[in-house]
Amino acid sequence: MPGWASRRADISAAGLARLVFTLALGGCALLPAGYLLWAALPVLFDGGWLAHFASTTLPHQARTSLWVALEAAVVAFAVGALPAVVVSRFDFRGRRLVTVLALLPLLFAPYVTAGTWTVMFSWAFFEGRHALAIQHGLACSPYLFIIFRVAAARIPSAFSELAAALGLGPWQRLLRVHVPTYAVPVAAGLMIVLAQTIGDYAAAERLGIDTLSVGVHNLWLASQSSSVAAVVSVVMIVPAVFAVAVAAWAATSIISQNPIPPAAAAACRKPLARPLAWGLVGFSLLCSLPAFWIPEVLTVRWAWIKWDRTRFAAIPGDMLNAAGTSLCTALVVAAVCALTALLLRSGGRSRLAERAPWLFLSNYFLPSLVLALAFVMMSADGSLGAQWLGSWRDSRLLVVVSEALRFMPFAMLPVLDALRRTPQATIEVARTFGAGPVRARMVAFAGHLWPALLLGCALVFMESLKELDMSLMLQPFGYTSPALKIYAFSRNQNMDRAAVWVLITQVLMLLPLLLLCWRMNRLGAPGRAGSGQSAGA
Amino acid sequence: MADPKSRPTTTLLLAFILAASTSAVAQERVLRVISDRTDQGVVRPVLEAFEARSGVKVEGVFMDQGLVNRLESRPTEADVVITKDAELLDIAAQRGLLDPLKSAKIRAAVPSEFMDPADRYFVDAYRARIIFYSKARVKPSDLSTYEDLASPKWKGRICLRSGSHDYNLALFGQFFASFGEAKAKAVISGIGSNLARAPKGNDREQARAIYEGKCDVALMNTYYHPMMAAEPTQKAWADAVGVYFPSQAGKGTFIMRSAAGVTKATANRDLALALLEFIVSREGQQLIVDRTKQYSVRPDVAVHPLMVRLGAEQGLVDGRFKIDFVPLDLMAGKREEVIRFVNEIRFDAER
Repeated sequence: MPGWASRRADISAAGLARLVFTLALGGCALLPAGYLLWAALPVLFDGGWLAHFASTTLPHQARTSLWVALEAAVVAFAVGALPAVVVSRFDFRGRRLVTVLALLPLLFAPYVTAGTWTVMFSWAFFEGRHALAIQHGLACSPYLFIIFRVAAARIPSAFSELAAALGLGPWQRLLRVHVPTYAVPVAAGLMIVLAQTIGDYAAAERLGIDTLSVGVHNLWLASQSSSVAAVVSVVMIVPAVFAVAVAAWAATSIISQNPIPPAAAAACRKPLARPLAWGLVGFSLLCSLPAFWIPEVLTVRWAWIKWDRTRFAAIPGDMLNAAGTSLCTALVVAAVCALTALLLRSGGRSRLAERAPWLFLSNYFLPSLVLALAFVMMSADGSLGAQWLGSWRDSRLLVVVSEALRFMPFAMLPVLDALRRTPQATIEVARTFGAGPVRARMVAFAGHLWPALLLGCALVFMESLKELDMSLMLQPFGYTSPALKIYAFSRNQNMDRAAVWVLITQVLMLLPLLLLCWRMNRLGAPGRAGSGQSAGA
Repeated sequence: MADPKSRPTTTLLLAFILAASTSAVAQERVLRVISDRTDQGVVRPVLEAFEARSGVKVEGVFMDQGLVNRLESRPTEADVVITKDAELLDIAAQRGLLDPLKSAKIRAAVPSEFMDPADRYFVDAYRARIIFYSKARVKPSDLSTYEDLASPKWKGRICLRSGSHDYNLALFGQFFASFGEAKAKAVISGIGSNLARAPKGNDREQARAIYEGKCDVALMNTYYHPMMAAEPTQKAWADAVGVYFPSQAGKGTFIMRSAAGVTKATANRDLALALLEFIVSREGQQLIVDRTKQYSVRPDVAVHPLMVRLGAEQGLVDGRFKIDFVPLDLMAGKREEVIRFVNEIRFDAER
């Protein structure tokens, strides 16, 4: 009995530790939004800003944002998800090319693409809301490609074949097999597109589209008041947290109702008819023109023309700064994800543990300037944050932490997915062979979690390199980076002088991009049955 | 007795220590400047000149947006604040974020109308917000005043950046102060309803839109004309537009003021004042005029030759124009009124 009591106590302690860690994760995720709400509530109705916003521009801006987001989602699913499913389920010449083309837009920040479009094209279409939607759709398409590439590689084609054998027609198979099995990637993809589109300020402002994010910024910057910013941010914070909470609940519920076997074999790829294959390659090539090739050609040309006006002496320092900040951001994210993996129970047994980390996604919904403002307010002179941070407040630490919070979902969600697919039995078996609790998890996670974490961190590194608003707002004195240079030049309509810095950013992103391409191409490769599990997305 | 052979070594060592300590002392004196200008913009040359002249290292935060919020949260992290819009510094001063200057040199150099009455900041330079028009489609005789831009003859012919941008908030605020509320609202609404497209982009993009035939007139700051003319990719835009100083027969043209002040940080107050005194010195002002094409606040610093050309067709002499001068203390509260009004009429909405 003493043994049983001791084990019970162990379980309780472990459970308590997990609960505390889960709550801490959720608290960290909601810290900026919570702080803004806390700052806004006492003055929510002071000055009538909320009523003013709600009765003037808010309804129109919200509608515009929603339409742009929905259009962007259609574009992103067509350009990212469709090719991903075909590449996963069919064999054809050009699969690797389609993969590379799908991932190339990652090399451009949306505001840079917007800048090149406005410089290159003077047709009214390229300054309208449809152009903004297309641009966001193209910018999000690589994420959807990755999500669907992994998901499709994991779903056995036997489900569909079984349904066909039972006499279900194509539409019934779509509704009863494909829609449920793709529900989670669809939800995740949709959340990413909605978050990026609704939270975007730079590209919308560049094209002059009056979105909700632009409205919040305008009121904040025009009033120059943190309280007004906090008050008007409430209209984004509350729906964002609510949407993320619903998505987390829905996704985890769907997963539990449609459990994909952890050891599901990679789809047996069927050959794709040559015309269709060529059609897909052509489609991918066509989509990559506005998303990558045209901006890239322009950027290289401008860099060549303005080569003599480049301050080369600044390049090594800026590269080091950017790489250092992004690496630190990726490492912070990796550390949090690794802790999550080690402390949370694998196998999806705890709903709370599965759902709480989703809350990080709410930071992606917020305009990054608003997120940065929360950090400025939290680290104000005399605040608890300033006391804790001490002289670290004047370093790049705040840039790193805010970026880590914003980009956490890129690594955290794949890690949760990998955790869910790691059988608890593997850990228990490892323990019976004498491995300690940490060692047992390290071994069990080797094939599932680390690749997912690596890819997630590669994405975080790339996003951090492109990130602008938080660096702008939270930069320490004397700090420079390629993103700040790009912004400074593009503000003066000198995209040509920004070109060199765009290329430098791309050089830094090359390695993670190659890593992504390599992993995507290895998914479901011959002789790697079940390799879909090891990629994560 | 010391070994004579060791003397050169000792001397070298001492020299090194001295150099290192001197350098360390120099590095200790770091002046911190916060600005809403961009790093590659107009402030950098002035700071570099000050660094070269004083030997002091200047570190900057160039943030473009949210300057007052950051200053409010961290009132002493910077020594000097430089803004493109004096209104922002006035807001900072009202929130108690600036220290009185108490500098005889600054007071002597800057005319009183460009000084804050409470001596917390001063205007270091200014530019006019004027009408840029299509040389091909508009005759200068068609133009007259800001109020005229609200008339139906300009329907669908005006381009403008966002009504919520600092430049337009400052301009519209001056409308309120100079015209009175009712007339100002009518003029702003009229301009809004005459826009050819939704407000977008920066000032230069409005010139580009005129060049591309999307609109015929725009409100822009004076210095963009020579700046565009100097950029090969933008020269065609500059060539396509003429400039017109509105209301010269009436109360005058409105100006945009950039300004500077010192924060409540005390450690480097002497350096902060040294920088500001350099900015208002003849040398500093000449540098600002040469590099930024703004107008100096010092009467003894001439208008840049490229700016003298602007307005010559209107009969302006030496580039000097009549200013409808609205003191900054009269602008108090106008900014909020303008924000609320541009939102009410949905000035930035798609058209």
